[in-house]
Amino acid sequence: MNPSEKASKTTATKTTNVAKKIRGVVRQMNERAHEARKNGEPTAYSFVRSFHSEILLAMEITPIWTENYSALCAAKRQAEGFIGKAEAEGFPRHLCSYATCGLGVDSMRADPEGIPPDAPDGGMELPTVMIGTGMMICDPRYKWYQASQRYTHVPMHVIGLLWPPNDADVDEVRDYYVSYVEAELGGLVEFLETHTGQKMDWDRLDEIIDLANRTERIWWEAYQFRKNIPTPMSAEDAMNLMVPCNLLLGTRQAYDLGEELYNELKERVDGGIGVVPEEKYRLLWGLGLPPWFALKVFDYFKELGAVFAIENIYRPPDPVELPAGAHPLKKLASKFYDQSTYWHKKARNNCGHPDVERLLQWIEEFSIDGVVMHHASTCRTIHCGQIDKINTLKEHTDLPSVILESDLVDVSNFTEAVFKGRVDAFIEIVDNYKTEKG
Amino acid sequence: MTQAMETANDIYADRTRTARALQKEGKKVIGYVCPLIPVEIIAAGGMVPLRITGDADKSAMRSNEYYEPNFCSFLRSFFDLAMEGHYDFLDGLIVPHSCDHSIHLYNFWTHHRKPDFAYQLNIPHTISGPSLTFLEAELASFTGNLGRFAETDISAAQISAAILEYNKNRALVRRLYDARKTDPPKISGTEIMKILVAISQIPVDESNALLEAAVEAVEREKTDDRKKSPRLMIFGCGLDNTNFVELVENCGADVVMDDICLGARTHWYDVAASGDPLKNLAARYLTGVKCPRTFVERTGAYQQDLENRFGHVYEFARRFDVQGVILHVIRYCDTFCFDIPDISRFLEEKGLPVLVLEEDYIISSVNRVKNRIEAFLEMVMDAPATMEEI
Repeated sequence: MNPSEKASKTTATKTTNVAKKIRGVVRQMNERAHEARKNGEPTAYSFVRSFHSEILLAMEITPIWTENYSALCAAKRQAEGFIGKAEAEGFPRHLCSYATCGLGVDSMRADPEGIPPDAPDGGMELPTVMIGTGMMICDPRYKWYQASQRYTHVPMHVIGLLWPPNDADVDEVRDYYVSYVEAELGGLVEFLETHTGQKMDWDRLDEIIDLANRTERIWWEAYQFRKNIPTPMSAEDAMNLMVPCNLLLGTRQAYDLGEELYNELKERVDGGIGVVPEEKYRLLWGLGLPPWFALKVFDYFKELGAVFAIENIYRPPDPVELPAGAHPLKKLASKFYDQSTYWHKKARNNCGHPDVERLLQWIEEFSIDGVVMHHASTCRTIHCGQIDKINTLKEHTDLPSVILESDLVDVSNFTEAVFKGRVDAFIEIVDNYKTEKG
Repeated sequence: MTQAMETANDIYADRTRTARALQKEGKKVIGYVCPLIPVEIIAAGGMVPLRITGDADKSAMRSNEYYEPNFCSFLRSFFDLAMEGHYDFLDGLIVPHSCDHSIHLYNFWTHHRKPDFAYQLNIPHTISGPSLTFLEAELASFTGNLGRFAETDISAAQISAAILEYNKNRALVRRLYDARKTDPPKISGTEIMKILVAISQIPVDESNALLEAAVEAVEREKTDDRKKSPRLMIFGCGLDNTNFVELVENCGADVVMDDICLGARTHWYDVAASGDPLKNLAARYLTGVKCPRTFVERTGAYQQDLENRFGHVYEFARRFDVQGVILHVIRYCDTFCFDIPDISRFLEEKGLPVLVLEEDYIISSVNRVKNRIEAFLEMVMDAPATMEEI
């Protein structure tokens, strides 16, 4: 990797003490993967929020979070070399840049030169197995690893994680959806036992699922403090805090960090301490993965007195009840279904779209002045349809909104000055809106 | 021109005419997208399945108000026509969960055009026992919903009868394709495309009649006086018009086989005719639609994986004596784009030259594409002439 490609500081200034610990947590995760490889212990390529981190933990298989590694490369401005390598291998550049960065890493590892020694955190380890998902959340979640097999040559399994369409009667179809996911998770356990030699400890899995559910609850409760004015935490912290809340889900560490965050935010709220000295504008990060190569743009919002009170990405999921006494896989399947369809019923009776429905509710609950979306050009799944979601939102609220454009990992179409210019213009509109509304 | 070809041309030029006429007679017309929809169930309920097609000669302007530029240009064209009211006559709409784009299309179409009946058929990405069970349950739910909408009970016997009709339809398409095996072929790729579009717009009985007439006429054709040209195959997705195939053939090639959504991917594999019809439909639509969106679990080494995923493409090439393959991939079609390196390598290692063309649904620069095809043809002509030589 060319050292000149590395930028100085790309990250944002964090507010909370917990968020400040996250880089260390990520480093530990990657070190753990290196250690597992060295000791001959099983590892698995995995995707965030794929409802099987509990299974991996119970079977003592170390996850390697491939999207997270691409995001780390982006933050270090070291993704370009990997993306370029994937492009040279024949993968179109417009494919998901999490994937092209990861494919570049896998491809380089398979070359005689290997992964460059200065790659972030010593590079991404070759896994024992790869676990993709179907439908949850996007097509690259199985196509990426499938394409990667030409370099990794390790066994791969895809779990079907299907949720019903927006207009479905979620009670009517629930049984066969939940049964399906439960059976697919069972298939994963079989696959892992076959290919890693590890055995499932069902009692342990049950305990981990219970801890994971309590963990999600405490994180969700901590985030509720952000309804306060001034908000005690903004989105740049949340983009980092997604690591323990999602990637360490099921561990004691994730619970403890959640509890620590809860206490920290409560203390800030009790003391009336906000993110900026004067909180002028409260924004909603409406949808979109962040530009990992330039999280410092969040600092620019803060310079203008704007904070994000809530974001519709990587946040702790809405709390759902697990079926008491059920088989652990049934619990996981139910959780998946209930979280995935949490907004379906409300949306059917109102705006029609679950994603927009939740935004409408948050706009009220979090006292929002404006909505920001970020369009990542290499993602089709959550970044196509943002225009339509904004249009639908406008049918129900006159709040100002904007779609900023760049990418999640590929920095090549990002121009900081243009980005900031659009932020300036938007904040001016929000200011006028607030003035008019008194 | 034969009578059958004239009929196909007429339907191709005014695609929804037959369906609209039948609707006036009281039939319900159900629009659908993609080869993953079991049309047998629609036909079994006495309704007319009509495949949604785009307009490759018209820029999709209306959809810019709703879609970002990185949205699949093939589906964008469907939605654009929908927003112009072109498909407002439909009684219902069915879109499978085939890919991320298809989910968006369904959400937008139903939100903005509000068809009387709409269903998103959820198709698993994985081929497994649970996936088959799920799809069977999903098809039962779909059948029940569609029947309630049409105020009719769609019985297993009716579905079984429709399966037979569609299997006959597929067999006729395969017979028509057989006429491409001669060198030169008895029917051009352009003519085949017109017939494929036409039969997707009319009820299966009319479709069978048209195909029977076309097959009879084509099988009588003599090709002795025709010039032999390089024999190509097209692998891809969003082709529902003659523009691209015609361009390739005008460059001096014969398009003798395809693996595209409207062609072999729809028609090649039959549905089992005996036993539980929903179970049979589930099995066929999960495993018999060879689309990169359905994950094929790796068995054996990498080369075996490629055989499992793309072996049928090579088999098509072998059986139709293909000399080169064009991978025509719609830009932003992620499931196809991730496969480009693997399928290219697989076919090239088998000795088949490959041209990758990543294009929008509407060909943006005809001359550029033409130049690339011509250069490819030169390469093909320098390669071994027949599959036997390969």
